[in-house]
Amino acid sequence: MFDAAPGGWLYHLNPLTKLSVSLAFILLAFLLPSPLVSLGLFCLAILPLSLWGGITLPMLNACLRLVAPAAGVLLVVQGLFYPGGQTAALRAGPLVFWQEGLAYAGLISVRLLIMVSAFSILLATTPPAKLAMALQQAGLPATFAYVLAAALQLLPEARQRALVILKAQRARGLRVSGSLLARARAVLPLVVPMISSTLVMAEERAVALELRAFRSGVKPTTYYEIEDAGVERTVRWLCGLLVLAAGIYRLWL
Amino acid sequence: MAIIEIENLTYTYPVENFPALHGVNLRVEEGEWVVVSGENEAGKSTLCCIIAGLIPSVYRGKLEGTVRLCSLDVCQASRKDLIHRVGMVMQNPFHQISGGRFTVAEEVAFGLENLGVPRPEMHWRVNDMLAQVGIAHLARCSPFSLSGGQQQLVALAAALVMHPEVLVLDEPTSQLDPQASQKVLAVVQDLQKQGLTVVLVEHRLEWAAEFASRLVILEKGTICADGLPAQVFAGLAGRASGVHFPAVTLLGFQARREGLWPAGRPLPVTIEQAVRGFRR
Ligand SMILES: Nc1ncnc2c1ncn2[C@@H]1O[C@H](COP(=O)(O)OP(=O)(O)OP(=O)(O)O)[C@@H](O)[C@H]1O
Ligand SMILES: [Mg+2]
Repeated sequence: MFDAAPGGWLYHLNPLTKLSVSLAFILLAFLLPSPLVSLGLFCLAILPLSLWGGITLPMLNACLRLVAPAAGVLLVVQGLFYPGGQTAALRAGPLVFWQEGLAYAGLISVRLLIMVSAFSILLATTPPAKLAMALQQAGLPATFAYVLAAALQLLPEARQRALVILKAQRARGLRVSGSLLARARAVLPLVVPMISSTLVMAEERAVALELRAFRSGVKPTTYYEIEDAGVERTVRWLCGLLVLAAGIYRLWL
Repeated sequence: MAIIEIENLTYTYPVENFPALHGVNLRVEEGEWVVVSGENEAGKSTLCCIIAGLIPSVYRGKLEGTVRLCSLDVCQASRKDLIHRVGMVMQNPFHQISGGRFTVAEEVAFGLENLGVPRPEMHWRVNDMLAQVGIAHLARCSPFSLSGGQQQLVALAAALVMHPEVLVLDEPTSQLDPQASQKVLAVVQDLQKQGLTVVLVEHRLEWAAEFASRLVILEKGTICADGLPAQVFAGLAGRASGVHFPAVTLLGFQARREGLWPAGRPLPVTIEQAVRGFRR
């Protein structure tokens, strides 16, 4: 349906399937108390999936940038200050790292890893507009679907434009130092075009939408139909059942 | 039967004290190509909004007089009835992208989707329009990845795919390079020849005058000149109207003063007219 597909076959899946699988992984990681389960999920499910789609590197990159620093902080803080600490794992002078604290930090870190890696696969292989379209096809009102897609697509675009303005102002000799007043005065020419262009953009786009019958009261049709193979529906059901089973296990066993 | 009938129109934006347009009378026949010009803040964009049927349903404010588009009174007609009949393309290509769609084809289809047009009909109408505008090869690209000129062609296709009877263009090429501008206007010219009524706001009369069947000049919210381009230029000669005369017309003025161009002969608006005039 779309050209330039990152993520190979993963790209062509129904976004709802990818969303369900990602959510199932995350819920499983949170419902099952052993970090080994989460680690197993990562190594046996998420990693192979990313390899299959050819997006392992960006996925690992996201994990490294988001999970690694958090894990470092967690290990130090929980290791030192875990309230129920009883077994010393490591002594460094007056500092004691508690085993229970380290284990707890490990568990949280692994869950974070699942969250970030699962979502990075979803986002790397799914254009926001396609996700919104799939949600609309599944029954989300068209207005919500539009707002979701437009927000996800326009915000990065608007940021890009703001950076262009910043560059232009710098080139014209914008200085960002000196007294508070001087700095405020310097930043003003930067902020004004940014705000005003955002406002105009909102108004012009509102008119453009109006001209194209947005929210005309008719039930909208869609140009593309997002494919939804029977296998994908089965996978989504399986995800639901797995999460349900994990929930029951967590509550009663 | 005029397709646009504006009688004694006075319009004031909400919270403004002075009308943006006052005492405006304008009748446009089917198939005409009207070019509107005038200095900044003269009310050109406001006139576009009136003709596009956005006033008073989208922009509120106070409207006096009557405005009929394709025989529909804008004060009584529903938005849906007007959307079918008049399309508009605005200045900024990027701001006209809905932002909610991933490909050019979907972006062009957006208006049809909102009208609930069935999918097969939508497919042929969109494909037809993409081909007509010359961007069929971009159908599967993201609209964000296009150049300004290409985005403006997408906006044009998105307006035309609704099959309007009137197309309003508010400085559609002011942010484009000459080549892209030519492309946009060539498409409009084609459709006008097939019967589309066109209202174009343009500062650069240099080339707008070439295809305009009629030139309307706005000044501080009123129409100060209306007629064939050559007549309008002759009438405005020596007045500060904020209108940029085409260079050939200025040449005509000078030639007339020097006795090289007879007083009775209409001033040249295009290079061909000048050449023909001087040959005689
Ligand atoms: N949305 C609005 N709300 C209130 N006043 C407006 C609005 N749009 C335009 N005006 C006012 O109406 C008057 C006419 O503006 P308009 O934009 O129609 O002029 P224009 O001829 O298109 O100018 P330009 O050449 O700058 O595009 C101006 O005084 C302007 O301030
Ligand atoms: Mg304007």
